[in-house]
Amino acid sequence: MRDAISTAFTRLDFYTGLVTILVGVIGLLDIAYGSWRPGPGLGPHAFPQLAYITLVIAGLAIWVDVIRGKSDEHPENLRAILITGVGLVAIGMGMFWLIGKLGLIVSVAATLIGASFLLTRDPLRHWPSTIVVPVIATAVIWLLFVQLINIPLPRGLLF
Amino acid sequence: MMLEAFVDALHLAFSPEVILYVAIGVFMGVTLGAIPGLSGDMAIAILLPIVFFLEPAAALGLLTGIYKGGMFGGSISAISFGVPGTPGSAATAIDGYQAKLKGYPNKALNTALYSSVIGDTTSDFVLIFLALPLAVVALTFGPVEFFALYAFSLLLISALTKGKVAKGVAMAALGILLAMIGRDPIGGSLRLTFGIPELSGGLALIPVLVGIFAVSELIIQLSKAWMERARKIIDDTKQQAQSLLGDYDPSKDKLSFAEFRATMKATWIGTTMGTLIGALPGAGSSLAAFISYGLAQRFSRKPDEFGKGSLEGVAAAEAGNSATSGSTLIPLFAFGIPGSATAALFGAAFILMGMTPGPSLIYDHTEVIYALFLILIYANVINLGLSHFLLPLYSKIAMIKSRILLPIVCVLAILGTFAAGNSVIDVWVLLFAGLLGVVLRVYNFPLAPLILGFIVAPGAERALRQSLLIGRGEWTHLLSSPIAIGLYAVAAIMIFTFTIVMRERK
Repeated sequence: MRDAISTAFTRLDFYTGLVTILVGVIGLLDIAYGSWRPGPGLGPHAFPQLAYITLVIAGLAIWVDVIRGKSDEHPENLRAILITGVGLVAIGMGMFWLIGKLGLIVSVAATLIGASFLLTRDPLRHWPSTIVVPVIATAVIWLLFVQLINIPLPRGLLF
Repeated sequence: MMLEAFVDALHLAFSPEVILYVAIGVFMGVTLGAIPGLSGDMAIAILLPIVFFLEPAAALGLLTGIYKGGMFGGSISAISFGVPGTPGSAATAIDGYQAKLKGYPNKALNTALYSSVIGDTTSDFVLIFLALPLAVVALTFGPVEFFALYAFSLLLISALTKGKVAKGVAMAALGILLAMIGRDPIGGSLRLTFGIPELSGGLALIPVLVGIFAVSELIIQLSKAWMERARKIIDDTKQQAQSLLGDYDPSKDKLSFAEFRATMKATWIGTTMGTLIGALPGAGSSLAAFISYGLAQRFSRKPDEFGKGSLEGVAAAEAGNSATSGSTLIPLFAFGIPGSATAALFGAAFILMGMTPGPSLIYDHTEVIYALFLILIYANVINLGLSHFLLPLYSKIAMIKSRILLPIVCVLAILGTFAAGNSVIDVWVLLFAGLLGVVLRVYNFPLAPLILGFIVAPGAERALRQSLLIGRGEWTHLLSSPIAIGLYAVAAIMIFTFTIVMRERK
């Protein structure tokens, strides 16, 4: 049992369980000491409270699995995935901001061509897929969103 | 009145516009399902906001077509390259790819197509005949029964999705918390907004659904595409597949009627298991496909051929996968509870069109729902016809590099989400939900319970608070209905049974 507990700290799911429990505990403390208004019947805090308690129990159950020797492996390529995710958020909001400044066609085309260049080795050699396809895709997107659906274009990123 | 609605439904479902949208949807679904990394479900998620601007029958036709096409599309990549295009086609790859290596990919692809259509159509008929009676029963439910139903669905989906039960339950709780952001529906006070005024309206369904489900997958695929570029990895599978083409003799690779007939037992095993398993919240097409494959091998006259290119193996897996398509919609139509991510997407589509999923959906929008039932059936016919002729084209399409399509799909997701709500906040929510989704995927937390928790939380909270008001604050009132007790008991038995089944499978 001592060995099981000591090796638990080396397992990934110990930390995922810990985060799960912490989120639940912080939520319960917020409900207990935060500015929650009372309401009729159970009140607005009851269902979130139930969810936070469930999180704590689930986190403890994850720990039980860890002590029993079950844990998921450390994720591969985590850094690459997270960098890609943050990059997508930045590029997505950037494209949105650009649409307000330069218009839909230029912004979407620039984003698609830029993304194709980023993802392709020797992009100029593969110009049909890195330049022609994005331009055609931009035209289709313009037709779909501006001509067919007629959405009002975004005014910009800042609110 | 029912006859009148049926006649209206016939006009709606068989209008040229709707048939065209169904055909476009089938083509898109098969194409995207065939490309590893993309799927029919992702296409549905991305196109949801656009559905808002179509007539209901046309919108449902497009989504249904994509759904049907996507169910079969995954098998094209599974058979051609040994890479499942969708999770549900993982079992198809076992024998399908071996069939390709042994020189009869066309037989395998046609077997997959026919068994997929048979499984899918049967499941649709089960949906049509069961949804209405179940909806009638559900109309008698009160808050106690509905709370039990929501709890049943959340427990089941948490226990049955991939990964550990504890992680599934945690995700259901997280989904509930995300749904709680905004105003308390009864008292009107703000909760979980953390002082951010833009969150006072809560999180909209579309950006959360598309973000968690589709954008997170796009981020993972983009990172793979980026790593492929950075490390100069060559796709060995595709190279090997292409090198085999030199020895291939198409004249010897045609599925005969005798060979098709020999796969029928396996097809019906898959159809039965897929239909039953598909009706359970959270069970998923992958589970159905593998269980069907295992059972078909057990009952086959040639079990030793499984894993070596057996057409029965392909038929069972593909029928099991596709037969979940109709039955997975049963909880949505009967009770308003989506039992799978795809059902959640259809539920979101109904909401966008001003229709509330649930037992009264069939009565409030009879002609649209009847039209959907008709579309579900004939979409299979369109899938059969189109795919039969376009199989050679689809195999080539599966070789399109994802680095070309992924950025386009991302842009569609962002613009589509903005189009649905006309709100920049929705775009923020979409992108951050995508980040959350990718972190959860990477740490092996299942997403289906989160999505279901997010969707059912408002209804579950309302049912719980109403139950306790009626029971004057007594929690034992939740067990005052035999239906509620039965649902809790059935959930416990099913979780116990499936836990043992899945342990044996490992």
